[in-house]
Amino acid sequence: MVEFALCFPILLLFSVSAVGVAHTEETANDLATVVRDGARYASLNPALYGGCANGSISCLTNTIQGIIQAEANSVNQSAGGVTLANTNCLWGGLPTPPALSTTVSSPSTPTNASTSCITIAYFTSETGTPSPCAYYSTSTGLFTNLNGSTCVAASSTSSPVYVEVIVAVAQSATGNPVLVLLNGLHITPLLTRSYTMQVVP
Amino acid sequence: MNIGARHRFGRRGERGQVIPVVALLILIISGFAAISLDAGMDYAQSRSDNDVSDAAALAGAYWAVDDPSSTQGLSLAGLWSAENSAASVDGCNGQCSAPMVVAGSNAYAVAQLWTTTKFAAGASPAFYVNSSGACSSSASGTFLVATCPAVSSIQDVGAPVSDKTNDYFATVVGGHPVGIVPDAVAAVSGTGEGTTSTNPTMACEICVFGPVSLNGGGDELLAGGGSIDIGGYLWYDTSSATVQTSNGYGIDVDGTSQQGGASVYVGGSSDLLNANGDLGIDGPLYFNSSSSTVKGASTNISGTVGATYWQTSGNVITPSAYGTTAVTDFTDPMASVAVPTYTKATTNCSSVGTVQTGTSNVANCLTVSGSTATLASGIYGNVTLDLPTTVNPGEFESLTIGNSNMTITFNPGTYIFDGSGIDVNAGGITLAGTGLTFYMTCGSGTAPASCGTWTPSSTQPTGGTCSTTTSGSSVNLGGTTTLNLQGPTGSNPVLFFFDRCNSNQSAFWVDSPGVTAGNGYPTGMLYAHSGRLLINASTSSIPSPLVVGSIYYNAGSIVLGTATGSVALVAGTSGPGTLVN
Repeated sequence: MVEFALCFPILLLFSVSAVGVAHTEETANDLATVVRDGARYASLNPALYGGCANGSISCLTNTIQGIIQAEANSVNQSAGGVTLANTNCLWGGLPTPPALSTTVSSPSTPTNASTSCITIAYFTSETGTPSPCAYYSTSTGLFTNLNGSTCVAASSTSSPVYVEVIVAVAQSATGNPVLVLLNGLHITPLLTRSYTMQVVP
Repeated sequence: MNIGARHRFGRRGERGQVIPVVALLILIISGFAAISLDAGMDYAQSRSDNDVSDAAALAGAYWAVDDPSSTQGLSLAGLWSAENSAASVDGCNGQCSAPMVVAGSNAYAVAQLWTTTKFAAGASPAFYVNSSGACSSSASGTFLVATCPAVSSIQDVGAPVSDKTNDYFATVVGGHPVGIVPDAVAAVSGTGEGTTSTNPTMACEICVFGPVSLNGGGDELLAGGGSIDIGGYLWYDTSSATVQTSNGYGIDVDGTSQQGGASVYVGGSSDLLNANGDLGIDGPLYFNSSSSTVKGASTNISGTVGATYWQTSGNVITPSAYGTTAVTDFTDPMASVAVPTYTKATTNCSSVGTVQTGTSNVANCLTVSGSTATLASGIYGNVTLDLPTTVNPGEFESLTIGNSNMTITFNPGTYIFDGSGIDVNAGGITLAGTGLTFYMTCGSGTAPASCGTWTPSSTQPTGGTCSTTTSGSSVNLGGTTTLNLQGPTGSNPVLFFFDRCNSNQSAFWVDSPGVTAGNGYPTGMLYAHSGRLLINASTSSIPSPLVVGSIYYNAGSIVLGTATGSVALVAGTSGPGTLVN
């Protein structure tokens, strides 16, 4: 009995961990769908993102962020969907998007256990390597140009503009049992997914 | 030894047995967990690779649409590069390496093309394209530029991606990475996914060929789905008025006419001219005010700034180091769009006058049933509606809404007005309907006619000229009105189409407060090339895009357009890039 009592927590930890990892994988897959569909909509409608309050979780479904939220709500329905707030991810404390990378790091904000964020960023390839030229600011509801460029209106086959959608979700919000435990230790891992597409010329 | 003693001895003898069992269990569970992790990661990687292939195939389709050369034997390096670039910018969340379209001897080093027949499951492509833009009918054949098909013949574009799984645990027991070969195909033509705005085809969302005059405090002219182009002057004759774009779009004031000697005359305090994109003013800018702002991501003012009118303090031009480049003239984005077509009604309904309770039916024209009425398709004269009425497409000299608190429902179709037009002369009116076009023109009775002869021209700043202009039919909203109107879907979503030579200076006239939108904004364009949009009362429900001759605000707190732009005018318009595999 004593031995079993000693071993049981280990077995339980293995089992719960397996469930937690599977849950994380499922959420990651869900978010891959979310960013994919959001980027596709943004590539067709690069200017449709206004009209939604900062932090809102129910933007109009004819806006890019509304599409992203609707997709997130529709995935993983058994767990109630994933709630995404119309809040900019911060990168080094700023909403300015990071450079395109094969590996998207987690944003510096949000860090709270129940929050999420969205980045909708545009990249121009005028100088060869795609570089950030604009992003959607959730706080102002406006499209914010970087370096004075007007990139969205200028996508062409010779100089394509790319749109990247990044979402990050604090894992406690997904009901993952392992991460709920981690949250209790004030550890809040973010699950981040991104997708990039060419804006229709 | 009693029985109890034997039991106690037996349990002591079994002590420790659970340890090897648990150890074995942990080993087994770990093994399954490792397999599950590998499988899960592989699935996620496969999923990401598929997404990369999708993006690459769509980029290839875009290229084919935008470069539709009909010449065979030209290099298709641009197509391959478009696919490769799209794949490269998408990093598969770190799970795969970019570029994903692998070069070399791999069979998947190529883009795929379907020409004579469209893609079908399992069907081989007609051509393969390598990184040099050379083509072959076989993935392992000889690639020659001369073999390449004409771009205009390409129907579907494929973007195979080659990748391998990153197994973490399987390799421990001798497992090998497995190939992942997603193979997305996109149609070059077809219906795009989702919805698209018409605005990407328009340079300006609000296009005004003459002046814009803001005469009431808090008036706003907004655009978020395209630029604001003003062919005449922009005159602020009030305070706290705003002309503003968002979403990166700019504002141009061509200034072909001037107010007080200026192309932009800021006559009130705290006025704002704010272009989220570039701002261009072709002519002088005068301030006769204080605390006003003229701002653009970049700003060009070709004329004099200030002159004798920079009289008060706090006015700001941003950036302060503005340029002096002149603004290029803009043209009418609708100049070549045909006037609305319709099936001419044949029934003469000119005997229908005022429709009210007790009015006798008119065969094939008017049916009065209790407190409602129906107008059949026909040719009408001047009709006054005092009953809630369902109206069918037809020709009218005028339609006056004469009784309060009722709904007039328009069935889908085109309505021709050749007299005074639509006049809402009562309060509490709802105008409702979908799939509508109101063509406001000249003529009379059974003979609607153009208000002048329009000749499109690519060299004219306004996109064409009228031989003559005539003041024709108008829309007058003289009572509190709910506009629950939607234009047609398709490539010509004009809700109100004023004949291009209809120069009515109150073509669309809001003359009463309380004009509101019903279920969101009316959708569809208001196009009045030579007419004036005259607003005498606060409103924020005028449909956009606006393409009009001039705009005159004659009251305060009028908002035209929206900061987000006119959205989703057309669902599922034709466009490249439908993924077919």
